[in-house]
Amino acid sequence: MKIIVENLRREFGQTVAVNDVSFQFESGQIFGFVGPNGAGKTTSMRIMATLDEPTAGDVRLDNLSVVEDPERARHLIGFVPDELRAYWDTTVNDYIDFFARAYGLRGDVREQAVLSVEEFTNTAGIRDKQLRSLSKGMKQRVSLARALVSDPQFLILDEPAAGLDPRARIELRELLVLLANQGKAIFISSHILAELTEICHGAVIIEQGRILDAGETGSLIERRREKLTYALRALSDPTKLLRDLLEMPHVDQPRQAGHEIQFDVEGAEENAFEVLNLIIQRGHRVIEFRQTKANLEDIFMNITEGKVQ
Amino acid sequence: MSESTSSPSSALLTRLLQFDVNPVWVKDLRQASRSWTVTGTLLLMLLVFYLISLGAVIFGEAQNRAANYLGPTIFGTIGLTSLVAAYIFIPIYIGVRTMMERISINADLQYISIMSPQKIIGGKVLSSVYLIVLFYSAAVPFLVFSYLLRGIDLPTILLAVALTFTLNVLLTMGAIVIALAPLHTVMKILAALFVGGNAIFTSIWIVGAAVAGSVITRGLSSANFWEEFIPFVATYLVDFLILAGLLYQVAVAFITPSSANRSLPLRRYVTFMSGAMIIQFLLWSWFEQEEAFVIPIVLGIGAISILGMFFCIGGRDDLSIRVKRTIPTNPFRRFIAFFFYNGTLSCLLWLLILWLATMTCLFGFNILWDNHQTGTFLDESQTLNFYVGSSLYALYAFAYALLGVWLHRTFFPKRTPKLATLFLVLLIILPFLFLMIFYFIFTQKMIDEDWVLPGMVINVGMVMANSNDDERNLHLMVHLGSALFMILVALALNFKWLKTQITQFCPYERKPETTTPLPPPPPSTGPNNELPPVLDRG
Repeated sequence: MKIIVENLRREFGQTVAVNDVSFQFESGQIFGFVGPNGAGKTTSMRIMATLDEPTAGDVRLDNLSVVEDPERARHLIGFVPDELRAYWDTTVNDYIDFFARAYGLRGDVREQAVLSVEEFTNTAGIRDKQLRSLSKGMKQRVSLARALVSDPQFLILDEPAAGLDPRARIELRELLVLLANQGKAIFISSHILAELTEICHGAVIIEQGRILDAGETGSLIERRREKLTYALRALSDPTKLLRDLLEMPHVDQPRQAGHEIQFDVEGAEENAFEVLNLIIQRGHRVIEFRQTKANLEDIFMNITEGKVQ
Repeated sequence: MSESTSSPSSALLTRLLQFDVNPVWVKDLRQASRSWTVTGTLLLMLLVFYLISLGAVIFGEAQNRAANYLGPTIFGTIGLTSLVAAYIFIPIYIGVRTMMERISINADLQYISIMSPQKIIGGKVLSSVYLIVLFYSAAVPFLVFSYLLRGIDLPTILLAVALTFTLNVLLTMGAIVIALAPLHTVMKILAALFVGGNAIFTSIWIVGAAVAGSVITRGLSSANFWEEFIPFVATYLVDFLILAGLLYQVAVAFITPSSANRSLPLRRYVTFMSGAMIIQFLLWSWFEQEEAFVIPIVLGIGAISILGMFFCIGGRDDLSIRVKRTIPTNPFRRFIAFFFYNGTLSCLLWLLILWLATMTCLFGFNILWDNHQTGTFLDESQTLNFYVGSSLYALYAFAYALLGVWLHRTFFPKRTPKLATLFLVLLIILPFLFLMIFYFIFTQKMIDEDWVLPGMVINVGMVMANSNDDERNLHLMVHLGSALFMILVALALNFKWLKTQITQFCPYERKPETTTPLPPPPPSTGPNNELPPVLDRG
């Protein structure tokens, strides 16, 4: 399935929350949605999830328009909001079971579906617990289970990792990779950009309702990176090494980062080779020299200005 | 048994076993069964019933051994206790839960599942009815027990319970409507206190009058049982169903997204309901030979038309693609559809037509009455007062609504359309208020009741109350002229808006496919291309 977002626009009075947003991705891909607070991420996601209506534009799942036919589109969409509001007097199992019923699953099929998503999201152990007594991480799992119970082909997750501890984040990431491998299209917004870099096939960077850049993660990083950053570890005095680096050609902003020295190298990779040669020539005993991998966070910081509407 | 013969029956059995129970019903009942609020109230109510019954038997026996008719006492006390519990607790419980679900659109994702709004409201109503039945099943044994103590008969008990039950259902549905109304929480609470509170006390008063006032007992033993009591009960049941239907449709409209054609079912239903109301009261009027039966028609449909105009101008003007897709292509069908589809102008016109159609029906009935009944339908001097006077309210409301729309769409187009409703209210109140204040400041007198103030709807009531027939009729005609003039001015001011509203009502034509940017390269699914356990159901 191909998800095509076309010239999406959403106005709230005089405020343009989403302005001519277009991008596309397809089944099996995890696509990140990156932007500062107030950039229009949640509004766009709500439109994609049929929760809101755009002022203009459309979102199509193959040939199915979510604007024209939201009822049919809902069969294909699973939405995980940033927060799961707890129902009163409802257990985890009742909650998931309710949504299985709401999506028309009956009898054994429903029971099987509920059991399988509980197992998949590791919520089977808490199925009889009241929703309101759950931790944030557990609530996110339940929210994911709810979204998955109808077996949607397109999963939208709005800040699913917010407030989760590192373990829960890693587990969530693994679940998402599994779901993508299963052929689902996943659209995820998150502030934890470093993690998105690892799992996302592509990303959309948005600010003030407008797309700043979009595309496959690798090419996005390559396209946006102006300098190559290198990390160096040597068995010599770091102060002297930093001083020497400052004198070398092509080197910019040498700095100490923990046990290593980092610096940017302008121009092509040949320049890095030249710099390494010079370092060795000056008698520094280099034990590690590598190019650091830029991630979405670097790109995000480079191209956004932190403006909100 | 061979597989071929067993398959159809087993498939039927499986379908029956997997009967699609309304999910909202199941969820709400599960929540209620787990709720200590419900269980606690029910247990407390049972304890009170037990103590009342025991106390009444012990003390009643001791005090009035000779008469020994304890039935009405027990019935009244238990009935009142269950009324208070069920009429207050159940609507509040259901209303608060429903309101909490709608506080944020993200709060309850059932509203974006594949369930239709009808199914959601149906589930809510079903679970409410079930809860009411639960409470009544606790009360009814005690109420029937009062029969054994003499002084009250079983049909009276059962009819009283049925009346109480139906009113309770309406109150609970009203609570659902208030909870789902697109209002701020504070406004919902105020509406619940004023509208809900009054409805509860009115319902208790109705049940009290029917039971304590012996209306039911007298009706059951009446000589005109078939001629009067049964038609009365049938009318009550029909009205109950009609009102319940209206509350259901309003609740459905409230949770239907504005991009859907939520006006169609509601307007269709209100049109049907108005027709049923007209037929019902005209029949009563004809057969009872009582002209006053037409008053509920005028008041009911008048209230719908005028209040409807207040609310409909606060909605959106544009038609969503979803709505446009369903506009008929046939010109005649499209013309009819215009009045029933979303849109401010279409709603205003529909309400005005509803009122004019009602007046036409009443006028036709008037002619029939004058030709076939013994007396005249209306006193000749009151004819103009009845038709023109009452219609002035609808005409003025229409004119003010159009002016409110013009003020909003011209000066504050980017602000919420609810401002138009505010302008409508201000247009009604402010001119009259200013006139009254200035007149008082300069003359130290109040406005004379005999004055005619063209353009001011508040003055219509004063004019209608004028006892001088000639003067009243003249003033009514002045008001009619001013209302029509205001409508013409408002239509002229809104010319561009009217044109847009009419021209946008055409079937949707999908644009040809546009070329989209190139997709990103296909993903690398990685070495772990494993499907998660069980989840892959495809």
